[in-house]
Amino acid sequence: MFRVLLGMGWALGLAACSGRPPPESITPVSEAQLTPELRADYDVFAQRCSKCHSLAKPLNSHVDDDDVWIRYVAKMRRQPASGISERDGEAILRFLHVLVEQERAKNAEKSK
Amino acid sequence: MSHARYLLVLLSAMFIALVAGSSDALAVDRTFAGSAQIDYHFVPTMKNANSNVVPTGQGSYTFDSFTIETALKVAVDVSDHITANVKVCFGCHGFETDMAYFDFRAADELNLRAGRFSPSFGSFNIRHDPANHKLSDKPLAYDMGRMLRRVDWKMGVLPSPFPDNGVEINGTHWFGDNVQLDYATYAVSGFKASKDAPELDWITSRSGNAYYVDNNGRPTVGGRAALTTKLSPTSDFTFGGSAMYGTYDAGNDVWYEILGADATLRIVRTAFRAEYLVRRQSFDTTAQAKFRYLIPPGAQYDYFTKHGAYLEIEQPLTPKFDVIARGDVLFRFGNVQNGTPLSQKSSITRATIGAAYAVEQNLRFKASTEFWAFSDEDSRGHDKELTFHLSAVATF
Repeated sequence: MFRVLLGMGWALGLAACSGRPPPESITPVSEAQLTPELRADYDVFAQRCSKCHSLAKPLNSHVDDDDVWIRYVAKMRRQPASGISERDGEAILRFLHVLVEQERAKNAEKSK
Repeated sequence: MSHARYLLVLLSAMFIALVAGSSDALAVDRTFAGSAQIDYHFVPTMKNANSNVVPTGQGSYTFDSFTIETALKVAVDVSDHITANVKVCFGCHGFETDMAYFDFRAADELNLRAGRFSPSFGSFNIRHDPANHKLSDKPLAYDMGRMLRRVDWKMGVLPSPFPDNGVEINGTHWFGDNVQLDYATYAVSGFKASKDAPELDWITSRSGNAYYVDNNGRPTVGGRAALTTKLSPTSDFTFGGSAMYGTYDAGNDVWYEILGADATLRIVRTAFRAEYLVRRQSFDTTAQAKFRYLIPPGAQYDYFTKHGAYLEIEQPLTPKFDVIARGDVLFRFGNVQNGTPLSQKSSITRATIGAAYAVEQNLRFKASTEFWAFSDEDSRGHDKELTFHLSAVATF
């Protein structure tokens, strides 16, 4: 049993050290829109928000109001061991603002 | 200062802080979320691959075949300071209220939680929803129905979730941009059982048949503290400690205490998790004939300890594919009642390897295999088992 556990640990340990894994989810923001600044904000969002839940939750939420995200990110920041500092929260909100704009554009398109 | 006066002062301070902050705009915001997992549990090493029967002394009773866990949650931000949360689950127990509470937040560092909720204990319980962990089953220390020999072992150290009625004061504070301190302290009804029971009575503890009220009028109290340190922009380390103490019988004669320590290291998306729990529980030994091992003359109470620990590694290999490995142990030391295959020193060791594949962002398939080794043989002379899980979990 000990050998089995040790083997599993080594295998995953090697995998963990074999290089940086790709982001969990592909952002709905196109590559063209992903400026270096926005990419940095996305990295904070992906790193921090995937700690406790799937990124699918925020990415598929269809929120079109920045105020909703401001309150929600503040709530997530207060979660135990969230690791989301105020500075992280600002970066996350900058990325989510792009999603809000996309959602607004979609809604405007639908209402035409 | 008496406890009651201390509590009154604390609540008054929170009320003043809330009134002072009431000039903030009132914002009603609702969040509706949910998840559903269907799991197929297969135990090929059992006779006829059927582990869902309870032949006396067979010892491997578990919930095999299909089990479902679904949850619906509504959170309403009544104001900038008050949030109400209700979460209803449907699973092996039928419909259960996993949470129904409000948070009354004076500051990030001071929040009053009141209602029905799982008190802050350990790190796994925060992720207990099947959508938030990538193996089908829980760690042994927190396991319920899908653990093998669950009837003999009477589940893990602290079966999760463990909703209860009560109040909790919690909060979080950041020291600069890199260190986060969380704390929680609570009083809840606590677990229930008769004083000569071989274990806590998990069913009565959560069942509406007991009116969801305390059986002894004395709350169980506990607390938790955790420190999270950012080691780099893409890595952090959390270390936490938890404790809980209460009496479980109607006469407050016998008690339990649960202690826990947990550590999580996250490097980019690779997560290393370790957690240890121990429950020490006293029981009445007046009816000496019920026990397998000799009770010292004149001793009215004895106790047992149950230890559970796991080490888990979660590694994404592609954006959609994760592999997970977990090693688990569960120990029980102490006297046992007659008729159980457990002995004075019993243990379970389990190794799990699994994978999770995200078909779409909100739909994930999980597969895992578990190798079990028991210290005690069952009536077939078996002390090892192999199990498989296949699950689909969806979220919204």
